[in-house]
Amino acid sequence: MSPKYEMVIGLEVHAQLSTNTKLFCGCSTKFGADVNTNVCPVCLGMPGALPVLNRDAVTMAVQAGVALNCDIQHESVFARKNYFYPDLPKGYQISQFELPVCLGGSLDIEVDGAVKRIGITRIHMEEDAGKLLHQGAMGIADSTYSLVDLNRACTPLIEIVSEPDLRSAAEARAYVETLRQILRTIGVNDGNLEEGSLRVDINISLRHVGATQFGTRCEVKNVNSFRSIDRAIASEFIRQQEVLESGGRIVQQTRNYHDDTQTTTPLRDKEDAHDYRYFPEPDLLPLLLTDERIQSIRAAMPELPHAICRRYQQGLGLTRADADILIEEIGMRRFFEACLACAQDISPKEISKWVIGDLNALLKPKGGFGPSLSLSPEYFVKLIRLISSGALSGKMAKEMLPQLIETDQDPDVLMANLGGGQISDESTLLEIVRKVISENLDVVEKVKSGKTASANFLMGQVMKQSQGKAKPDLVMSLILAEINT
Amino acid sequence: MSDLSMQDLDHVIKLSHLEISPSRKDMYLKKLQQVLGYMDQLKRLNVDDVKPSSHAINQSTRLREDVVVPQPDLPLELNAPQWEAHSFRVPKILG
Amino acid sequence: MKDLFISAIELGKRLKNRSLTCRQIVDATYQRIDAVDHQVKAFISLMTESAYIQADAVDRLLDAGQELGPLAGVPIAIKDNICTKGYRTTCSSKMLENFVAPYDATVMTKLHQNHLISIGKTNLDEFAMGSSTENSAFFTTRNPWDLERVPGGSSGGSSAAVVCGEAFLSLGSDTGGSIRQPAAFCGIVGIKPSYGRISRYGLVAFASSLDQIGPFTRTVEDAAHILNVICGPDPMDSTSAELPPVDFSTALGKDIKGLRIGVPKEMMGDKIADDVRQAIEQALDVYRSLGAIVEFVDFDMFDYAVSTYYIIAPAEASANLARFDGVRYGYRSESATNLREMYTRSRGEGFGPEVQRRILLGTYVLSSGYYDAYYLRAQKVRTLIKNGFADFFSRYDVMMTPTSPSVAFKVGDHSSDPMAMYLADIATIPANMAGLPGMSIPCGFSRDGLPVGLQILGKAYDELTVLKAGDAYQRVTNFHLKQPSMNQVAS
Repeated sequence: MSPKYEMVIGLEVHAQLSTNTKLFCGCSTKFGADVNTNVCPVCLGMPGALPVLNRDAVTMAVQAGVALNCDIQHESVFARKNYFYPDLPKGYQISQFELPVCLGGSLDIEVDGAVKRIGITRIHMEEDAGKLLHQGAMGIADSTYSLVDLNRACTPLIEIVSEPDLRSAAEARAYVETLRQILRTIGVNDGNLEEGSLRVDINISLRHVGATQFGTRCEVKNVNSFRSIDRAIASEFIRQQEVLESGGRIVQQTRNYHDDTQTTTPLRDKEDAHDYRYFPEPDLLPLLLTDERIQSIRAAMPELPHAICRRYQQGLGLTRADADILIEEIGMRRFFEACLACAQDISPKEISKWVIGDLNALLKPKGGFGPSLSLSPEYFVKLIRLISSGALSGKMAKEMLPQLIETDQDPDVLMANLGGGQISDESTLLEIVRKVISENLDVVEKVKSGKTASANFLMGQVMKQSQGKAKPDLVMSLILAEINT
Repeated sequence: MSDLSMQDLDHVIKLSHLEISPSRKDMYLKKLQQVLGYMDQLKRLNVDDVKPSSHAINQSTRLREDVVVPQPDLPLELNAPQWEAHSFRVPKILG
Repeated sequence: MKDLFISAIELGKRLKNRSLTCRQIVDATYQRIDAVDHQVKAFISLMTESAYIQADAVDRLLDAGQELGPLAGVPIAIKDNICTKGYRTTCSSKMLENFVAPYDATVMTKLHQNHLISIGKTNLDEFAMGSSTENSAFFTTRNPWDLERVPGGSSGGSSAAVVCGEAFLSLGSDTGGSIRQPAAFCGIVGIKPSYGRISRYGLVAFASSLDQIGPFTRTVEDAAHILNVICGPDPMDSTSAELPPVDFSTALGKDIKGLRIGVPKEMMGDKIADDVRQAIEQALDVYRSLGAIVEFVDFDMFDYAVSTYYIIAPAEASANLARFDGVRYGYRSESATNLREMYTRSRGEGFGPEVQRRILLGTYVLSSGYYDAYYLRAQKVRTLIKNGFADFFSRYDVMMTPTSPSVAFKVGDHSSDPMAMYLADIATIPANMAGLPGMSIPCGFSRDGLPVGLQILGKAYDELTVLKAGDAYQRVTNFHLKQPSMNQVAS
């Protein structure tokens, strides 16, 4: 039986902008500070304090708009959205309403190999609220009182609103994944759903397959992982389907998703009837962006994921899988790019092999390619160069790598400290080979009688006597040559 | 425009988060009706093609650089009605 | 001490030539406050401790031969809606009765950098909403010319303090006339500069797009000098104007021959009390005698401006006053058992009736279904008012009107009729709508011996012409030198 209902989904994604300071004041946005310490008269909503807009927040909002093919507005206006809640210090949220900074864009997503274009309605800037800690119970429901922490209040957000173009959980998920990758890659958002720096609200409605009219929609909030996007959509689809099947009508409302039970429940009203009384924020004048300003942001736009992917595959010969890893791991990619810049003589593939492989494995337990990494790309490249020139065996390089990461010393120095590099000098090796052969004549006989695998034993002896520094392929050819003469 | 009803007033009182006694409500209703009645004169003006002004001046909003400004210790506890664990304490939200 | 009634500039000179120390003048000021403030009731709180510290610092600097600005050492009173670090800032509201500002308003920083001595915080209508100080939650300030009468408002405490020798200068704020009208009622100079001239950072907002800080002074000369101290762009106020610095004292002592003065007929008609109109006519004669050209013009924006004002100002106020919710500071009702009650009772008990009325009005005009009919229409009319002024100032250098339709009224006279009170601001409101500079200077007296104010409006950012016109007038008249009888008893 073919499905009776089709789901229609539009997403509202709130992304915290990666600025140093809040949207309207100079307080730090750093996560994890002591409660109520990243605050000042402005973000506390003290009497007489006034907002002043963060220039970089504007730049990042425009960058997001450019990345999503939006029309950047020459004039946008902040408005006050009025409601009372203890995490909202001024009694209104400063947000863009009628005239947002970006309008009308699109995002291409890929599901099962097929590309689909999803419309972007708008992107607007707004400030975040603070946090409430409900006391005396697990949640708000039975708590006896609450504590207000305003560290997060006034943190810059953009809200990206999609058109209702998505038709399945898979599409919704692909949309969020693609969007997240773009925002992270251009450096405007850290993409952390669990910490709430990316928040997804799902608008979902059902209609009969083939219908052109939209059904009544519900907004599902509190979806804070990729897994729960799928689950929340699935559960809301089933709920709405059951309502419709039993002859009921969908009530337009906001619902909260609970990951533990995988259900949605209606969210209690924010006390008010919903009349936000938006009006232009008188403390801020309109944000005017000149053509020059928009052009300069466009010109300095960081490379987008799909462009990077194409360049890595077609330009550098990387596999799609490696390209994807490098795009996902921004720190790794930065290191990789830095290596490329100082390694015109080495194949990018070789570098990516080492970066994604051994280096990544070693760094993983130590915080990855983050700011704590002191390894300079130049030395890392030099190490790879020593391998290609034969001065160092792959094995030796692997042994040296932890020390290189630790000390960031010139690989030449490290090599000397370890008693020199690989022995590739034929006369030196020949001496050792002859010595090993004379000590193991019985094995030599075995090789001569056809048990060529026994040559590996001789090889092992040579490596042992050379403290592992002998160049393996050269050793093998020398052994075989000696035996066969 | 001056037919502000008690029902309208109750709605506005709810939005405004004000607790107001019934006798005072009666007084407010009369005075607000009077003021709103005076404003009817604005209907005489044709403003169809007029652009609204939310400010007296026309300039772009000021921007600040994205640099952390160290904040002096604010004596928050001094002004906070209820203070606990370096946080503002509020009574239970539901119920 | 007769030195208490001289101009601020004159006091500055005496401090500099050391015929007077700053400590002496601060002592004398506080003695004067002790002597008369139980009658006048201009002050809510005093800043005695910091005033003496600042005064002694000025004395040390002057003794050491330091060059200080012309107003260094001059005592100044501050309207109690301007934040003063470490001191209470109450806005004359029960809501903020015990609120201690954790930071200084930008104007306070500028005053202190220029070594003025802030002596105390003055009374106002609660949150600056009113025209008489009768809406103060604490007490009504009295007019030193007649203690039965109001000093005007909302900055009534600041104007009264300057008249009766409790301060040489004061700061007020003007949203619809709250500096100019009390200046007129008290017979002193009050100027509201162009919107954006003075930072609003630290001024507790009433209506953000209209509010502007400004000074009360005894002379136009003093006004020019205090503007030099407090004007200028501020990175903390997005709406402060990015303009090159102006030396306002260059407006002083200038010839005004050929100055084009337009006088709206509507403001010289039957809305205006007879003795007020007569005083204005005489003032216009003085201007003619100085070579200015006076013309009566049709300018019918005044009534519309009042309506527009009582939509826009309450709308902005309804949001500006939402932060007073009992969470982070200010009054919280003891009886609340849940969040909703905490909000409604704290705000119900903490705000006075006029403030509540304006919050309700502002909420109504913004609410769904009424926004277009009221708020949006008012914003469009605001554009018409701006256009009307642009047209006016293409033909005239200044506009002159009475500052207020009447002289100071008696305490209790207007309190039952909101529209009567609202219409008292009819002449002053349009300047706020268009962001224009406006000044009131004393220009005569009513039959009852009460001061009449002449309002001079200029085009945006053209304070110089306004000051020039006012200063020229004061050079040939002596209304600004007249003192209320309570001052003569004192000296």
